[in-house]
Amino acid sequence: MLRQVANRGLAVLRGAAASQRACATRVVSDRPQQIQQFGVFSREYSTALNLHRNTSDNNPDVPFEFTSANMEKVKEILSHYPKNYKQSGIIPLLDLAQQQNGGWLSINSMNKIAEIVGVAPIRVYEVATFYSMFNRQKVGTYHVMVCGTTPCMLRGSRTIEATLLKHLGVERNEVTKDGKFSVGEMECMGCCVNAPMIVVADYSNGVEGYSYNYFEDLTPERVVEVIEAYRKGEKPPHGTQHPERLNCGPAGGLTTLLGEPKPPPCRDLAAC
Amino acid sequence: MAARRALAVLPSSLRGLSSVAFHPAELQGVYNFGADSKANVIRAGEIGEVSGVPDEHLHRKVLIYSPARVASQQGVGKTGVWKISFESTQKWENPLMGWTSTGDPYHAVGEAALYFDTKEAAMEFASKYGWEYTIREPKQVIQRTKAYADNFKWRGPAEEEG
Amino acid sequence: MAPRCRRYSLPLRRSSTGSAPRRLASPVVDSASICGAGSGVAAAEGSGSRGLHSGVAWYAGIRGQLYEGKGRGKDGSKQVSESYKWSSGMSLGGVRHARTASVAAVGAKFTANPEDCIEVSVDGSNVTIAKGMTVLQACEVAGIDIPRFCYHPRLSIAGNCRMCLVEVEKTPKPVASCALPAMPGMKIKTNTPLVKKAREGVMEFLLINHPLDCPICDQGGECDLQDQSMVYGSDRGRFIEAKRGVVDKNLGPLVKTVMTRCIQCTRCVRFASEIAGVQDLGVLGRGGAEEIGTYVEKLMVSELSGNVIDVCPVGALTAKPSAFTARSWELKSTESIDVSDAVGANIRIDSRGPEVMRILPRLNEEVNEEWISDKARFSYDGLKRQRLNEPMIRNSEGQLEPVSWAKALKTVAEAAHKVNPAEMAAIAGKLSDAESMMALKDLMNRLGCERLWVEGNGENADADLRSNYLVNTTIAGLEYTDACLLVGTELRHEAPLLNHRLRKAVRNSRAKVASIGPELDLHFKCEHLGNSSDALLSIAQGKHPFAQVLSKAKFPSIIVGSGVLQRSDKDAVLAAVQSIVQQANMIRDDWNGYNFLLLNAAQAAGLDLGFVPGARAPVGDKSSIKFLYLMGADDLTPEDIPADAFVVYQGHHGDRSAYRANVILPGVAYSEKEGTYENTEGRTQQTSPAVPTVGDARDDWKIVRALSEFAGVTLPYDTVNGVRARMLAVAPNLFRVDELEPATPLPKESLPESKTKLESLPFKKVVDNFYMTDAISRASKTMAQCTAAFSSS
Repeated sequence: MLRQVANRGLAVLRGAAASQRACATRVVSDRPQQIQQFGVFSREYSTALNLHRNTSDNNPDVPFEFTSANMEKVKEILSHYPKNYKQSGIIPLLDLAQQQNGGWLSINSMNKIAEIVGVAPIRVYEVATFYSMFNRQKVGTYHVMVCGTTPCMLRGSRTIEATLLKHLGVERNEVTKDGKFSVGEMECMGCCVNAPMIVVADYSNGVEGYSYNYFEDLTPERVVEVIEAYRKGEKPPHGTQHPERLNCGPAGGLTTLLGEPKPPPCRDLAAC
Repeated sequence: MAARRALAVLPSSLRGLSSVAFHPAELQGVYNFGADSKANVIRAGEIGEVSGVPDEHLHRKVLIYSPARVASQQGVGKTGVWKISFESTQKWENPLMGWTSTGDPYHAVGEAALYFDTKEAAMEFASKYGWEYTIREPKQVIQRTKAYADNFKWRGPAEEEG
Repeated sequence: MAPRCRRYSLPLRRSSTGSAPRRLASPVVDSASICGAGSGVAAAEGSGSRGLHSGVAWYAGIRGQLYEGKGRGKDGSKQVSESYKWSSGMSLGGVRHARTASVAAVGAKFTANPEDCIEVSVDGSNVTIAKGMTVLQACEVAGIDIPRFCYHPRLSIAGNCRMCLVEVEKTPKPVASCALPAMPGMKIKTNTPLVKKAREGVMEFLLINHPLDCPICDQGGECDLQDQSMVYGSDRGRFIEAKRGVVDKNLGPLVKTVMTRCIQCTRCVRFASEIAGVQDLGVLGRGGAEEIGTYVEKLMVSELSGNVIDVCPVGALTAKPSAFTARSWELKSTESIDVSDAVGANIRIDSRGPEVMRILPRLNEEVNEEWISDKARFSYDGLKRQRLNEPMIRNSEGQLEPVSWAKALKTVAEAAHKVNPAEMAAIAGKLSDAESMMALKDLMNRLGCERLWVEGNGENADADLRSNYLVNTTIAGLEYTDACLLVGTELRHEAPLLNHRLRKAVRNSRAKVASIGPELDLHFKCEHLGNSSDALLSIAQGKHPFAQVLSKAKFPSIIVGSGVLQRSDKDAVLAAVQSIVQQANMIRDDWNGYNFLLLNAAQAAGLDLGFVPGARAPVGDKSSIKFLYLMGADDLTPEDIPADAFVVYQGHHGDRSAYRANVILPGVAYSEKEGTYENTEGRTQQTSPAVPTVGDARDDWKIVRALSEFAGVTLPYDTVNGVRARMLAVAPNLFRVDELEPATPLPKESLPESKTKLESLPFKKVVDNFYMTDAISRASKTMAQCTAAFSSS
């Protein structure tokens, strides 16, 4: 995957038709190989392939049912909408199913939701494929998403991702052998001021203990520490990881707005 | 304009007459070549008769129609014209090369040409050649009002069960 | 932009009076209720260019020029003169039509009350449109073609391709005309530099991921993207990244997908969910990864699925059976009628040389709109297989051997004279045209035989009251029903296009539909009341809740399937139906909700012509038949036909009955003849010959006419117009082509007395396999593939 990105970068730099063609050929020829070799359907986008292919853990024979506790939640969610507009609840239901199912949506979980809201399954697939927060293939117990948008990238998110992948020994969207971690990419999560940042979606404790925490102001060393803390079952402090920073304030205390602000210059009405 | 160019090949005497002799009343079924209109009126089928066309083609059955828009495209550029099409089925696959052979000199005529702007022009042309014609009127699209907002229209409260 | 010649896309010289944009229809508005339809008469530039291209010599060129000078009034419109009529050389049809005004197919018609109309300005000229129309529709009424990809007149508005951008005065940006409602006094501009630039921008984006494979694309030559890129496309791109590739989807044996070509207009998605009623297609993913698909491997199971091919503006969805066989510009098109069911969809047969290459739907708002069923579209390859191409006689060894026409006809005539007229019978097949049925009826009657029937009508058909065997709401009128009861019909398989109309009623006005008969998913909400006549009886007695639904409805209707004709208690069923009709007050001055759905193209015309057993004909027992004339009739099993009967098979396909025949007389298929058909709502339509006949085959009515001479009872007509004149005497409505002859509703007093008692029998399926119902579709390989692929559903 990195090779592809590199290739694309190269092509842009050169801007020459010849290298373009070479690049295009490689991108095209890489893709089927990936599909065949790993059975993982990914492309250079952060989203997985928009197709379902049966795998041993994701096929129409793998059953999915909401637990009775979650069924209560389903009813609560649906109570927000008119009876003939139940499909409005697709997104919260998908979220619930994803949390229950260990971080990803199997084909049958989507079918189940379609059945509950009374629409054709394709209408649920459309929603699930649209949002990158819905994973349609297995992820780790701790799904780590690295922000790849411009401010984070300028502040070193590529290095953060490379460190993560190297540390965990996986490719992007691949799950570690112990099933604990997977690394994905997300687009801007609104933390640009504390870039670079990652999100860790924690599916270790089901729906009740689900958390979705930001880790900001990361360095390659710190991100490894965060991961290791999770591996030990700890809950590392989320938010900014900069030792001298409070939330999104400036590091080392305020550098501006230190005194009483000057009042706006007003006309001296009395002098008139 | 090609038509004007074609006009130019006429003898100059006729050209001079054009504004006088070709007045509307005489143009509707007849073609007037000179001042003595009675003698030079073209009867229906006469053009065909004098042109040396074999007899069996003189009373051909033709269909005058205005082709419908092809369903696979939305543009109406090719519609609105009137065509004369011959009922021609004398075709066969030539055993030598597999090409299409035909026993009918008119078999492709209606495909490439014989387009008219009006039905009346087509009718008159067919009459001049003595072709027996049937007219098929084109079908029209009916515009129905619709709105983008309909996609988000409130469908009303839920129907009662039972 | 210079104005362009409509037909040849050549830039035209601007007219001296100014640079008015080219108009397809004049913006003249009728002050009455129907507005917008211009006369379609081309303006001066068009006629000037015609001389350049027409192959009809200088003569036509001059005439064209002269018409313009003469006919154009001060306002630029043309008057149509009465005196274009000719007294000789015209067919009867021509004379009749000569009186009607000339209206070309361009422009668009709408109906609205004058007070519901508003006026907008399009490119400087005012047009009157109905309130609530979009800007794009206003432009269409004005005769201006707006480029578009996602907008389709028969689907909901998506507004996602942005190709239809126009400028509206006082708006800061170009607007998508398809999604913007037109407001009174709006000033719309469609030909400004801003509009062109905006559309060029859209086009550049659309072409970013579109492959450059037009030379090998089946859509090439009739592709909206190709055409519009000729105007708005650039000759080079600024996109230097790699184009994306998309995995092709498997939609079954009819629709071929090349998803990389897809521009995400979502027309197919909307077609599938809104028209076909199968929620299988969707838009998956987002941004640059967006694609159309089914997500899971799933075939599109719909009788109308072939229409996604037409709906697709690019080559992403093309016809699989005709893939790589022809280019659109090689094809000769013939406008004709489909005969695969009783709806009589309007079609266009595209042929190359002696071969039918494809079949496309043709606009007819009253019948098929612009859709056709998959059987109509794809069974044409059956026209090339199993054809009978020469007369044959079964010799003493039981083998069929080719003979001359004279010998074959002589054999038949001799065999006919050997038997008693009471032991003769003739059956007209599903695809028979009215002319041949007329001739066959005349022939058999002259031979003394009255035992005639049309396949599907059966021997018990009652042809007395026309309203009893027609769809009286009309096909288009079924859209207005608000409660409908289906009796013994699987509407989706028997008439997919009628099913679509009923689906529209359910979708648009929440019509309530219930069905008594074999259970089938009709792709809309339909309450199944069981498959027994008990439910029918309880509705007839007013006990069933649906009886109240019907009687409360404003436009109640009932559709009775022709399977009812096969029942032994047919009269009782129809009597029960009639009492439902009366209770729900279905027959009024403004509405006739009683529909009898016929199954085959020949049935309605057969009933109108009285092709039914006469009063003296024996009915039922087939063992007495000694001479059987089958005109393309294949439904009788060999066991039904007595072993000693002399069977004449006149038809175009070596189908079931041909194997039992003693004499085979080769006829022609609907694509090869000019035949009159009447559809199930009583509309008379004609097929046109598109391709030559096969071998030594002859028109069916001609065969019967020739046979009559051999049999010594010469029929008094020699031409097709002669046959039609005879038809005019028997059933005048069959003479009025393209017209609907509504049936007079039956008076209330004349309710049929039920001779039989309603039996508690289930209604039988009449269509076992939608894809193979007649000789043509049974010979079709494509239909066989469909049967295999879709048989599970």
